[in-house]
Amino acid sequence: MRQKFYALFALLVLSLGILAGCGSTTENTEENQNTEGQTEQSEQQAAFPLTVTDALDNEVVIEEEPKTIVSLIPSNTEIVYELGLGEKVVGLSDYDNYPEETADVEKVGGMEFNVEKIVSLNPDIVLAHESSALSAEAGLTQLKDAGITVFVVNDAVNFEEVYETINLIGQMTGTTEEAEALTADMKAKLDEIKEKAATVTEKKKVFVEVSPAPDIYTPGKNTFMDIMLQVINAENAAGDLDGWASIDQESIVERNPDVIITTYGYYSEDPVGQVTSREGWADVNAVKNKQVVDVHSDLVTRPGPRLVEGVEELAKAVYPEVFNN
Amino acid sequence: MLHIQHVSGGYAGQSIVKDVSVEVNKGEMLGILGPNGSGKTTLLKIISGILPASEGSISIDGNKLSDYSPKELAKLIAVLPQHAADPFSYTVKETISLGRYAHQRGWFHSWSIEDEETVLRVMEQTGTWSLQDRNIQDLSGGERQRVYLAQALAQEPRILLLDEPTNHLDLSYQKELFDLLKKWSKECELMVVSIFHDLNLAGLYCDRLLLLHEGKIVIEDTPNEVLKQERIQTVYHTKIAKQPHPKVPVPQMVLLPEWENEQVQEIYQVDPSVIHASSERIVVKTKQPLKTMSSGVIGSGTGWYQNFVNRHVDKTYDCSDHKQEMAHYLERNGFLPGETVGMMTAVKLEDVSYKLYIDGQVSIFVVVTAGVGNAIDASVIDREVFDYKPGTINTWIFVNGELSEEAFIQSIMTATEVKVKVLQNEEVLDLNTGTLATGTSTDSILIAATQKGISIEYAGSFTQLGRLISRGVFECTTEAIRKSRLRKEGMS
Amino acid sequence: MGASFLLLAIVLGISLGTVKVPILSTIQILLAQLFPFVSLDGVDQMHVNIVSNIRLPRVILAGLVGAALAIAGAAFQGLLRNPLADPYTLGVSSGASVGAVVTLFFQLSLPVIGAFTLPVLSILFSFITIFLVLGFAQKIERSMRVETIILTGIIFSSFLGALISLMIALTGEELRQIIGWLLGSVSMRGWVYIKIILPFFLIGSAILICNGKELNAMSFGEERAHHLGVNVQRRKHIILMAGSMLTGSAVAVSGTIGFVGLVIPHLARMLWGPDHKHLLPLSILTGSAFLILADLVSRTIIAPIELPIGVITALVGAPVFAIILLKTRAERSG
Repeated sequence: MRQKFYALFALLVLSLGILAGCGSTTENTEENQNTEGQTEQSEQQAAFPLTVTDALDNEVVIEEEPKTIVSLIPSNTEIVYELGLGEKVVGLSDYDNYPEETADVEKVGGMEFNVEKIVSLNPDIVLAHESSALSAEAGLTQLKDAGITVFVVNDAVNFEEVYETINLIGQMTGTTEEAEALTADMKAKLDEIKEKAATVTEKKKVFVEVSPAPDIYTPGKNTFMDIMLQVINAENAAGDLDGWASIDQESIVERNPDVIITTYGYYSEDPVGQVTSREGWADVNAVKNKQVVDVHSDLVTRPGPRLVEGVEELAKAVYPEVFNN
Repeated sequence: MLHIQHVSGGYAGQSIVKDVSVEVNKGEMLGILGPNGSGKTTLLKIISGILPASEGSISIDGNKLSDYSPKELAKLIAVLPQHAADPFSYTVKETISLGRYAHQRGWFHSWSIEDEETVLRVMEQTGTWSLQDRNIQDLSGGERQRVYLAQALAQEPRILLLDEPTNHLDLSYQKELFDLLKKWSKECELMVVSIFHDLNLAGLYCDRLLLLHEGKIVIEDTPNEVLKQERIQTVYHTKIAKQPHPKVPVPQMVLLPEWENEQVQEIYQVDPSVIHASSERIVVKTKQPLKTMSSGVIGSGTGWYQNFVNRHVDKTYDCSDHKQEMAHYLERNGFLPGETVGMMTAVKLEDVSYKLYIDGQVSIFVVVTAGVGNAIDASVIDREVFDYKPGTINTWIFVNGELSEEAFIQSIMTATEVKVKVLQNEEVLDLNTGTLATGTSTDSILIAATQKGISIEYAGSFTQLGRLISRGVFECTTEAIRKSRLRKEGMS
Repeated sequence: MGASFLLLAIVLGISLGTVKVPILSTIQILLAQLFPFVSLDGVDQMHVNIVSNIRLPRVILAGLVGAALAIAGAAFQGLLRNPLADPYTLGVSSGASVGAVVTLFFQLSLPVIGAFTLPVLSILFSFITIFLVLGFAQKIERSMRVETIILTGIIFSSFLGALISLMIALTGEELRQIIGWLLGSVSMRGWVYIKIILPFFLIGSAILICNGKELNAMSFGEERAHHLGVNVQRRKHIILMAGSMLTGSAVAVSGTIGFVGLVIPHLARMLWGPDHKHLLPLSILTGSAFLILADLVSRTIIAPIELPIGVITALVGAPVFAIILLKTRAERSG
């Protein structure tokens, strides 16, 4: 869902007259050769050619196991790396920052990716994402026209869909087994968290801020965050709202949440201090009881392998007495 | 007194006005003339303080202009702009009240009784009273100009500067504005300095004129001195003729169009073929208008005419309103009074005498009708009033050539002298005094020139034209008198 | 009429909101704000917090921003003799925006002022901008005609706009903050922001109101004003500085909120005439009332979700402006 906002902002930015900078096509032939050399040694696991349907209902035929991959969104990237395909990755988006190895990979742009650059990297498959597929449609078409296989990964809104996504990517990249192992592990960890959460006696009301004042955005129902709060047996203070909402602060104060979670600490200084120093908030339970916690956005907003980690962080923040032992 | 001493100035270091010196006294109106780009507006801007003078100084009663603050200056000098911007819908009274800005004091510019009175007075003076609640944007050009004049007057200035104030105004407003200005300049000892586009308007209203050319003063003097034909032609680079104003002693300048020049090639000659004589009237009709000086009933004085009518009237003609009657007569017979010179005579028109006289390039056509029953000796002043018998000598002289003003007058003199001589030769007596007659009491003369072809400066009796006139008038008048006398003798 | 409009707006702005606070409680809370001896017994503490710490500062800030933008707009329109001029014409807002976007982009936090780095830098940048614009205009032409100033303002606006776009293009996570700020808002500012804008507002407005007569004269053209006795150069500088101070401080605390500075002066001029002596104070009243109401609409119309206030001002302002134009047009031809 968050990516939808990025898409919206992308349009805004476009309307402000910003054109994507022209990138350069630099030395990547060497890298290509490297990855090719290594794929020859890997095992053939799945049956190719393979026909799959992507999030935009396009039938995508994958002739053989991809040797080179470009990923256009962090969640895809994290899945690809978790499946041990890091060596095959030749291009990533500007936002990719996990795992650390991503820093050494060629970047192909942000919301507006550089088509020429991707073509020059000569990937066997480009993993795009449903959330930005509409705004990037023209670019994706150009990639397809250049003979590159483009697969639009669906925008997962619950854990089941995340598992499906991971399994699908595993299938397409010839790492079906690894994918199944990963999802099984995630399920197990999640069940563990659920078990613990069941012991919570007093359900807490949680308010999540994904952007700092003055434009506070909060996830309402039908967001992944809402599901995550359900998993840890907490109440979403904005559960009556639909999707991501810019909410009036009066209304937050009235809702009087027990816990406030911020997710913008990675770019905004002292998020906890920002919340606790707000005028008129002193009597809000979360502020009064110092239950304002920042959770890294990447953990709770990327529908990838680290999602469970994010849930755990969230759980620790909301019910420290239950989860911090 | 406004002193402008050796002032130079302009924009961005480039002097447009160069070394101008002039003085304006209380109650005086100074007009600034000059072709486009001669520096008129720049000079006005320097005087009003919008532009700085790069050299020289301007002072009012000995105090330098540059020593005044803008507010103090506004109490001394007001400006009526050519056109002001009015992007917002102020009312007329609000607009005029702004003129009091310089007189208001303190932080809040409180509006005093004096301010109110002044505004009411200037509204009265400029006839903007009835407009006071109207929106300035809704006014006509003339009304708006009056509002800005009222605004300038509300400043109660000692000097009023105007930049072509009658631009966009129609004739009656132009006159109205300057009549007002002239009146105030005298009554309120206002010094008025105005830029003029219209030389004639400037000549009419200004006490003195300043003629600028390329930023320098050409002359600064009275209108009669400044508005000289050659000077204006040189400065404005155009053909211009000067003539006197019909009512007031100021010169008027008129433009000479180029087509006037082009037609010179086509030389048109007046000769006997143009005359149509009948017992009722003698008509000369020319293809083009002739410049005419005459003492006819209709079309007398100087003018341009195309038809020349000598009409026979009965001895019993009622001449109570002969001008009107003559005009009707001409119209009835298809002559436009504006294009026609009309004369009357009781003489039988069959006795007319006309002839073409040629001497080299100069030629004249002379037409005379003469009756001497009424002859008098003009030199005898004391006379008893008698019943006059009818009799008139009408002399027409058509000249193929371009006559100067002098030549016209000299032609009349020459023709008259010859006429007197003829009367003596024919021994025509003044029946009243018994002395030799010099003419009749109702004689008329007409000199008409094509104003094309040869240029004739003089027509005294010693000149070529003078000699032709002498001969023509002598012969035709003698013949006409004789014919008339013969007829009378035959009748009696 | 203007004053009662403002009073109504303030009353509505304070008593209405996402959270329903009983009107008696509201009055009691407000009285307690003014007179410390008034007891708050029987009033929900949450309501006290909401009214006195959230709603009241918000309404006051909206009022101040609206007033600052409206009076600056009225002054700029009169001075520049351009009915389409608004406080943003001279690039002041672009300057303030650059200050704000720089703060967000580099995540600046200057020592001592800390969280107020943004408004402070924003005001600073707006001042630098107006000095540059005026200095540059003077370089082009010593007498600094209005046309030159407007052109210079446009040049600077475009350039600064490009700088902002550049930062937006290069930014990552701060994008939403930057865009949000550019859209303008008066929420979540609190009393401190009021303290930031208040001195600038008071000084700027006082200067402009004292120059009402001069603005009247100057709306007839600079030469005309000079002839009427106005010290044009000095007054022009003073008015531009005061207007920029108002605009810069308004943009600094609330972002760029459009249409207030354009529409309100027109509305006031249509209702009460163009005389700046009345127009300027009335613009303050109308402008603040307008922005308070716009803010009220933005936070209540689909409560608890909040709309950007700039969207409301534009949605209301643009049609109102069109109607005003049509009306004045019809009056003039009719």
